[in-house]
Amino acid sequence: MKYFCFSLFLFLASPNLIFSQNTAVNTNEKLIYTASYTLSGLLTEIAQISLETSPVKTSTATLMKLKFTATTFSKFDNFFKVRDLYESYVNPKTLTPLLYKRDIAEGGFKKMEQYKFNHKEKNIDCVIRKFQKNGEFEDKLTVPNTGNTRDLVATIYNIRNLDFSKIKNGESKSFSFLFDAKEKFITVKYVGKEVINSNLGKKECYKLAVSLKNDNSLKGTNDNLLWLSADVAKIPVLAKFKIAIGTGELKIKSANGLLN
Amino acid sequence: MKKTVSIFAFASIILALIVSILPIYIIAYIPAVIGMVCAFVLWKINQKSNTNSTAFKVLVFLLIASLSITSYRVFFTTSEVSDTKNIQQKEQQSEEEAIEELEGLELEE
Repeated sequence: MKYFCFSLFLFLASPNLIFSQNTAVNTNEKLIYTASYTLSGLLTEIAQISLETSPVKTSTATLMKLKFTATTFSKFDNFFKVRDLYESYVNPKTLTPLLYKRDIAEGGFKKMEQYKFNHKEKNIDCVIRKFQKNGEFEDKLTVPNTGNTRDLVATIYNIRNLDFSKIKNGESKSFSFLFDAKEKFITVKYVGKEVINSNLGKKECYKLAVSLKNDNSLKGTNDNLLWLSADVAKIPVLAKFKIAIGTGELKIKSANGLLN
Repeated sequence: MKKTVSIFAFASIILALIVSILPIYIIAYIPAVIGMVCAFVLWKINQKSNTNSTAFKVLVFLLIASLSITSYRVFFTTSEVSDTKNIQQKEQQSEEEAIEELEGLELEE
């Protein structure tokens, strides 16, 4: 999907490489996934995840909107209703984020976030709004941007732009992203190619092991895996993750508007 | 022994029945299998003592019911998303606000 960031030191060594070109993500793409969670050893489908791209026009530029939504299936709505919306407005050529918005409603918990990326001033203006029983709380802060910090959605799309022809088996790439107004690092290790059976048929995929450097949400070593299709679009076909309260899977259901 | 197995079997199968109507119905297989094992043990005990209790028949009926409900839901119901109107409205409003926020911005090549 996205220009997979160069490693941090490569980026620091060569600032001109920050805005590498997008070669994998098309405008008007729509990817639908089914998220399953393991309950007592049995996988249960709990939510639908969608990743969409679309053009957005302002008076001076045409941007690309990257949208991520998570919606629980109706059978779970009375149990634990999730309606999460993540949006990232990016430069369509480089997938560099300009504005990120997060609006989550999970059970009774609601939160909104907005990050505005000021690339010239090298900082990010963050607005965080929390809705609690005793009222609404708003925090405003400015976080320095080291240069290649993105938002979570743009980072997911950026991973698709990795050039796997230049990556050796076992090699890792690191990406920094802002989440809850804190800079976090995701490391992606290429562990080889694998053929995956999916709803799109048999797909040859690049297998990646994902880990977070300064966050303990993901558990285990090499237990969090991501399979990207080994084609031009490099779409996520399957993801397996392990968290503190169990394991889960993300399987592709449909894909439209991809680059050929 | 017979009493303990009967209590265990009934508890498992009633639990399987309850879980089979919840959204997490797939895990109803676990108490149902436990109930099935207990029912089998009970059947063997009944065979040995040459008795034919009504409780055992009720147990088998409940077991079949819980397994049928769970299997029907696993194989014949599809997971669907509904009530997305609110999130669509939010998205539309959010996009309008984002365009306002990004107005006048020039992209770096």
